[in-house]
Amino acid sequence: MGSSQSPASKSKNRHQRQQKLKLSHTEEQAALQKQKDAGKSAARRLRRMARNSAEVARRSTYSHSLAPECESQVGRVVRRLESLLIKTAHAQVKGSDLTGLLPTQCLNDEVMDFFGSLILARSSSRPGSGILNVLVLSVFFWKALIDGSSKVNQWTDRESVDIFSKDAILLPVHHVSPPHWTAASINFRKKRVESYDSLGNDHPQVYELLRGYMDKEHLRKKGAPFNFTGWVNHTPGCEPFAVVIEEKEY
Amino acid sequence: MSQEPEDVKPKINLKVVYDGEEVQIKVKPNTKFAKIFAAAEQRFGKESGTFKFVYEGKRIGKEDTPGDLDIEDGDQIDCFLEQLGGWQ
Repeated sequence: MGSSQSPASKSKNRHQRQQKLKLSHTEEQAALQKQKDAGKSAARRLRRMARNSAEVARRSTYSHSLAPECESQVGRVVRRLESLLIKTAHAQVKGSDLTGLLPTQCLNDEVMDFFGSLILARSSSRPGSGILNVLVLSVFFWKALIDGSSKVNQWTDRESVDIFSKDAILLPVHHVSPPHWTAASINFRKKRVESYDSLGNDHPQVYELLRGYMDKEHLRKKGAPFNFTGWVNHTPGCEPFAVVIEEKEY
Repeated sequence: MSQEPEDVKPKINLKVVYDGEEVQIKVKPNTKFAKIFAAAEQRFGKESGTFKFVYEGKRIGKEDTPGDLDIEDGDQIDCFLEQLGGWQ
């Protein structure tokens, strides 16, 4: 038994073992190659990520100063504005508030609301011209929303606005610590509750509170809860000008 | 409410609220808000120019009067501190 194998069968066995070894060798090779490939693609992915994050970092790094040739020019304009009151039909802003637009300065609520009023004026100026029909809410709206105040109703009741007939609702969102402004949007066309932060952060509270508001407002005005089927939360990361891009798509 | 015309402009009570605290300020409908702002800031122990004043979600200007904004007796004015945000 056992040891009584013919030389021929021995050699056959050896051959099989070798074949097996060969096979396992090629398998090993293939696995190695696979690993190598995986490594390469991981490296590629890493490089891509590094590039992207460098791009994000580049875009989210705020310039601390203007180009020297602009510095004096902008300074001159801003100083001239300082003593002025700039008025449009619906809003006004003090020139001194606009100094917040200079590098390393902070923007105050007046500038935010003034800019909102410009968007609103643009939106209502040419209906049907492809400009989105938007409602821009004041900085105080978000404040009322986080305070859980029923005052959020003031904005739509006063002007008897139906938010559900709009393309989008835009609002500035103030963050206390660190002091920062972000933008939020209820995008009815794309069924998205959106948060835009130039620093690339996500703000789950924005989605939560705005969805709560939409639901309550719908219940109040239309007598039924809002149907969130198909709605998603959306943040593009670092895209401060996404709202403008959005409009071009339509 | 009866609509009796009066020769003397009636005073109206404004409820001015900051951070949950409330003060009453009695004003005439044609009093400029600049004066009301100063009174409110004083009552809350704040420096002049500290607050932003809001009525029914809208900012009140210094030159406005309660009459301009159809503010009635007992209406509420909200005070807010300036909100700042920027580069980090």
